[in-house]
Amino acid sequence: MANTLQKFSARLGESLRSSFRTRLFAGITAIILAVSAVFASILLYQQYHSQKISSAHEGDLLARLLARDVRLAVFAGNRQQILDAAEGMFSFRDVQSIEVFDREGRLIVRQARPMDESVRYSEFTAPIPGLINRQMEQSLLVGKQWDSNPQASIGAVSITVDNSAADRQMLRLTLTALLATGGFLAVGILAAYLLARGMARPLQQLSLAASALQGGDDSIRVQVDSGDEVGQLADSFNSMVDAIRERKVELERALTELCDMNVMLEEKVRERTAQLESANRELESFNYSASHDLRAPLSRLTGFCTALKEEYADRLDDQGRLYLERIGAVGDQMGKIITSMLTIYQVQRREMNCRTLNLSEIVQAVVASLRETDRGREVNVSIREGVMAYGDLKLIWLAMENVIGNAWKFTSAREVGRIEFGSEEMEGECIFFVRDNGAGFNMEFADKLFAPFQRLHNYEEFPGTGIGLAIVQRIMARHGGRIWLESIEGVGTTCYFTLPAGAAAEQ
Amino acid sequence: MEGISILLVDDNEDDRFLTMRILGKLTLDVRVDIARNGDEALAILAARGEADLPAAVMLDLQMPKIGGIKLLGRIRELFSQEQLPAIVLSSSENPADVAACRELGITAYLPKPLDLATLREALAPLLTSP
Repeated sequence: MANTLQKFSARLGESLRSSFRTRLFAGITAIILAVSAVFASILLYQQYHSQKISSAHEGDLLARLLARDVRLAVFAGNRQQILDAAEGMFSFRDVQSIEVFDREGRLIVRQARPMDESVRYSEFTAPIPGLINRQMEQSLLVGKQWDSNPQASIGAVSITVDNSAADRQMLRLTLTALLATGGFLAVGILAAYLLARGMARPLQQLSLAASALQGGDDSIRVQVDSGDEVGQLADSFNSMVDAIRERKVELERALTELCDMNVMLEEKVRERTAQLESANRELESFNYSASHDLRAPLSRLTGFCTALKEEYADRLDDQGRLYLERIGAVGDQMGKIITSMLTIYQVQRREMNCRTLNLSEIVQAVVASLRETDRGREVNVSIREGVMAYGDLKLIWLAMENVIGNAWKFTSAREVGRIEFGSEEMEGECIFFVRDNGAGFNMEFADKLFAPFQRLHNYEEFPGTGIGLAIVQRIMARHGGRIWLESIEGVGTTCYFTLPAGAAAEQ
Repeated sequence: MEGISILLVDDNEDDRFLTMRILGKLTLDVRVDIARNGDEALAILAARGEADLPAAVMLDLQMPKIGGIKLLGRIRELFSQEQLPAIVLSSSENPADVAACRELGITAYLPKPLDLATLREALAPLLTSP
């Protein structure tokens, strides 16, 4: 039982905390209950009080009237007359008993109806005055003068009055009041309920609408026609929903525009890429055909130069023969440049056939062929064993020829050249290097290294077409690798390059 | 002195001169017919007929109208490699061109400018054949 009560009160508390409607309803109900209780109490108290006063009056009056009526009879000692008077008084139904006493307080007459225990009785006494003056007559109904001089009394009367009628009246009144209060309460509670519901409903609607809005329904509207604060709140909510919808539309439009622009941009990028690719291809084929076209006149030049040498060399002096030599050398140089241009084209166009390569062995072979063609040089070469890479054999070979060839060439001024090939791990990437103690170069010009035909040294000092590193860079780029050089002038150069490590694991 | 008949097809006068000069250095009696383009070459071959074909045709690749490879194709339509050996002269050694020529059937692919030793080497098998 206590448990149930506890549960109920807990639920009520929960309900009061969570529901505005319940709180409002409970509040109004409590106020109505309190007000009606107070009013009913006041009413009943007033009624009871006035009833009591009027009953007292009535009793007093009866007592006084009897005292006046029996005065002469008491004075005369006429018992019969007293009885008659008492009989007369008995005609009042509420009178229960009448007693008349003489001056000494002896009971002279007693008239009584049978007593009912359940009924409440009131007793009223009045003295029987010896003299009744004018003033006393006047105060018979109202006033205190009647009892003002008890010494002058010749006896006393006592009347017992049945209060049950008055009590019944009072009970009826109380019941009526309670009924009225109950009715008032019922109506009040109903009104409070309706009021609470009326006030809570728009709030509930707002709450539901807010949930719907949160759920993505931006066409939701709250229908509240009242112009009060809740109505204003609903209007504000509706305009907020409108604003949100507008924002959403704007956002969507902006997004669509962005998407369109992206698509346009991508289209443009594709277009440009295609243009660039086609321009690149044109350039490549121009390079190719130019190289071929240049070869024909060059071959004629060399041909005539040879003819001149063979047929007229004996008719030229030393100076003339030297010029002829030089023309031949220049022709050779030009031939090499044209070959390099063709090599670049072939590097770009070659279909790659990648596999795992032993770089150490390639470097070894390149060094061996350099030693063969340049026997006079003393070069210390150290090659780390078993350095592996993944790539196209022909292109990697070509790259190594160029890189090692450079090291070989630029160490030519050293009494003992030194070339080192190896690899090192840096930030998880395998970096290959070729280090030499050659002439080196000023790092200021490092950006010129990979441009075709850019030379950092005199041709006489270190001959070459100036295209070797351009070729190597293209080869590395085609493999997805990088190449860079570090150098100190007069100390040496290190050429670093990478080939994608991931491809090595592709085996 | 042995004699040999050669048809030289080249559009460039300098090239013709230089080739003729090397041919002149051969210790052979060389008879050279000269065609300046593919049409002339085909006309000469038609005029001489199957019975009187030259020992070899030496042709340049880069020629206007009918290029060297196209001309070689026409020639091979008429005569086999045994009937009429071909020697290509070119200043550039484009792998694609070399492959196309070998496909059609040639005896040698010689670089310009021509030098005597290379020419001798190329002609040697033609001279020993009956």
